[in-house]
Parts: sequence; C-alpha cells; structure tokens
Amino acid sequence: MKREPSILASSLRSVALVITLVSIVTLSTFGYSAYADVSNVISIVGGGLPTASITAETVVQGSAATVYLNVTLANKGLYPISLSLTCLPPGGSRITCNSPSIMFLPGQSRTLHFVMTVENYSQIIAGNIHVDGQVVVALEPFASITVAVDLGNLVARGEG
Amino acid sequence: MFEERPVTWRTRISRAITEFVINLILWVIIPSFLLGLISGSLSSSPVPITYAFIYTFGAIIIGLQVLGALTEGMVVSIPLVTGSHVAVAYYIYAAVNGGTLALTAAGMGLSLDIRPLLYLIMLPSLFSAVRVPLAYLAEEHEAARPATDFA
Repeated sequence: MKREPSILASSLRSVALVITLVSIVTLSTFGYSAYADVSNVISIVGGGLPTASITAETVVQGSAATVYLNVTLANKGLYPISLSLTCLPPGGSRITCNSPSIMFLPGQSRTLHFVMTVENYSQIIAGNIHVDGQVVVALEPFASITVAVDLGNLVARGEG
Repeated sequence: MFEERPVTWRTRISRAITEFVINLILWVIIPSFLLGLISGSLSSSPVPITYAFIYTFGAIIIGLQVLGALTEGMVVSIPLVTGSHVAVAYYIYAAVNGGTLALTAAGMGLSLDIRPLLYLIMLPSLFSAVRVPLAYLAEEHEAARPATDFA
C-alpha cells in the first residue's frame, strides 16, 4: 500500500531543492563574474583595453614628490566590485596618502584616484623607505582578495 | 509529487552503485585532480589539504552514502545519511581552510576570503543533515496517528 509523505516531509524536501538550486545558480553566476573580471584585469597587464588602464605619474618639486595613480576598470561581471587602496607609511617618514575606495556596479566603468605625497623622495628612490600598501578587491558579497604591496618599492621600480 | 514508492533491494543496490560513482567523482577524483594542478603550479599551496585527507574523507563519505542507500527505508539509514551530509560539510570547510586562504607570490602577500561563498556551498549539506531526521520523525508521527475515519 502506498503512503503519502507528511506535509512537513514534503515541505522540507521542497526547501532543500530550492536551497540547492539557489546555491547552484549563485555559484554559476559567481564563477562567470569572477572569470569575466579576472580576464579584464589580466588584459590590463597584458596590453590594455580601451575600458581598462593603469596610469602613474610622478611630479617632482625639489626634494618632494607627488605620485598619482589612476586605475580605470570596467565591471564586466554580474556582481558589484569594490576596490580600495590603503597605504600605511612608516612613522616619521613624512609621507601622506589618500585611501580611495570605489564600488563598480555591473556594466559600470570607474577610475580609482590614488595620491601619495613624499617629502624625502630620494630616499624612496634609493629603496630605503618601505611604504606598506594594501589593495582590496571584493566581488560583493561573496569573496574578497587582499594584496599586500610595498608602494615605496613600486615607485622606485617605476623610476628605475 | 512526492509520492512514496516501496523500496526493493534492487532499487537499493542500483542507488548504492549510483551514490558510489557520483561520490567517488565528486569527493575523490575531482579534488585529487585539482590538488595536483595547484601543487604543480604553485610552490607553496594555499590549500591545507593533502591526498591522505582526500582519500580518508572520500572513503568516509562514500561509505556512509552507500550504506545509507543500501539501508534506505530502514531506521538505520537516518544516522548514516545524516552523517554523510555532516562529513561533506566538514570536508568542504576544511578543504578551503574555513574560507580564508593565504599565499605569497612574487614578493606579494595574497589573502583570499571566500567565507560567504563557503557558507552558501555548505548550506545544502547542512540543511539535508537536519532535514533527514526531521522528515523521518514527521513520517513516524503521521504513521502513528489514528486515521480520522476510525477515531
């Protein structure tokens, strides 16, 4: 004799099915977004696109210098991207910098403007001053990647 | 939609074989292949798992799923299936170090945080671990209740 499952058992099974479907759809769209965005970032490094670029400029005035870094990026994925850059200059180094943070909505193209003012520029070029920087790229709301860089070393290499 | 069918030994064995093949691919073959790729391309692997971990947990998950399929319709299948879902959730959690991975490459420190994504991946397994005993208790309660026609 066949027995009908209870309403609770049927409901639980339906909820499990919905949860699984939502997980699969979210994972697929996340995978697609991550692939599209990573390809976009790689294309900047490998030659550049009209919609994505990194430009750096250093204006030297005597012993001081101002470094301008502009990162233009287009969000080709399906989820918002947040991009932030922070710098932690060593105490007493007379280095100041802004900490820009921007959010790209899907299909949007925006530019991150980073400015770092250095009083003793020659020390940076000589590689004597290390400025810890942190780049945080997040594929909202699921994942984020934090990259620790030495901004002083980057500036020195740019000059070299 | 969810009408219950009588479970025969033929159904149980065919389901056990299916569970064995699917779980072997999902929890042993694919992770081993991915671990080989990661180990081959990176000097320091950000993933804390080893082949021993994959084979051990793969065996546990496959064993529990196959036994759960072979005892389908019996009370003993409930802890087996629930245990396999808990093992799957832990396997996923441990494989990505709780969703926080760190890597050093070309003098730069990289840190990846995928905790929200990890919880989403673990959710179906954890929900199933709760659903199976609850559904069984609901079925038992329903079966024990006297039919209204005879009350």
